[in-house]
Amino acid sequence: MNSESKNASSSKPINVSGSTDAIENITKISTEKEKQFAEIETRISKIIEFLQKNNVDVVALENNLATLKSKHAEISNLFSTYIKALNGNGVTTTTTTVNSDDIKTQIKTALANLATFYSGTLKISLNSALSNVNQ
Amino acid sequence: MEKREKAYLFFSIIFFLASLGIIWWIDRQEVSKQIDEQVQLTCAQRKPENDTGNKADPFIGNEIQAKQEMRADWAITTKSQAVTSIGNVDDLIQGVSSNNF
Repeated sequence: MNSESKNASSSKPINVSGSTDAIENITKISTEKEKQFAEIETRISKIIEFLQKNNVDVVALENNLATLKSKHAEISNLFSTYIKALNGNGVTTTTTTVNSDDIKTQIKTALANLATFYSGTLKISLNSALSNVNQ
Repeated sequence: MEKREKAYLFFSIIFFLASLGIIWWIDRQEVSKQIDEQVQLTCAQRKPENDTGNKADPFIGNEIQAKQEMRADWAITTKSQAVTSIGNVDDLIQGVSSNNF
């Protein structure tokens, strides 16, 4: 058994930059997150549909959902870039070469931003809109 | 070298290579299993029991996906279902925004 698998068997995350296992790990994490994003967006869409049927104004909610989707797209792109960076030694942009650690930091920031947007904006809008429904 | 010795040598090499292949395959299976466990921990989330019920105990991993795929449609017809669904979205957001990697 190699060192990566021993590392993985502990509670600590695998963090072997550039190794096949690290790439496989990140790819699976990305796939898992995509499925979770899909469920989140579907569920919110269904709530908006329900609100519409109850004659509640959903324009702001639709805009918020669009913002959430754009943040999701940004995170997906970052994961894709991260995997590419792990495959090679860096992703060359027009001005600089970005290493995988930089992209990892960007992913963490983007995920935190998304969570903040949801709890600070979208969730508040959802609850506010839902309070207008009499059932 | 006699014909019989050549045959022994040939089969020994084949056996050796096959053993290496089996060891490699078992190792990959083990690594893949460990990575799956790690991914499940990383993407941990609570299970939405159903659209109308209470939140269930937390659990993680492929089981979630299987349950989610069984419920392709999360249609909402009552306010309480909508409230529960928001709770489920809360849990999903918590899971998706985890960055333990």
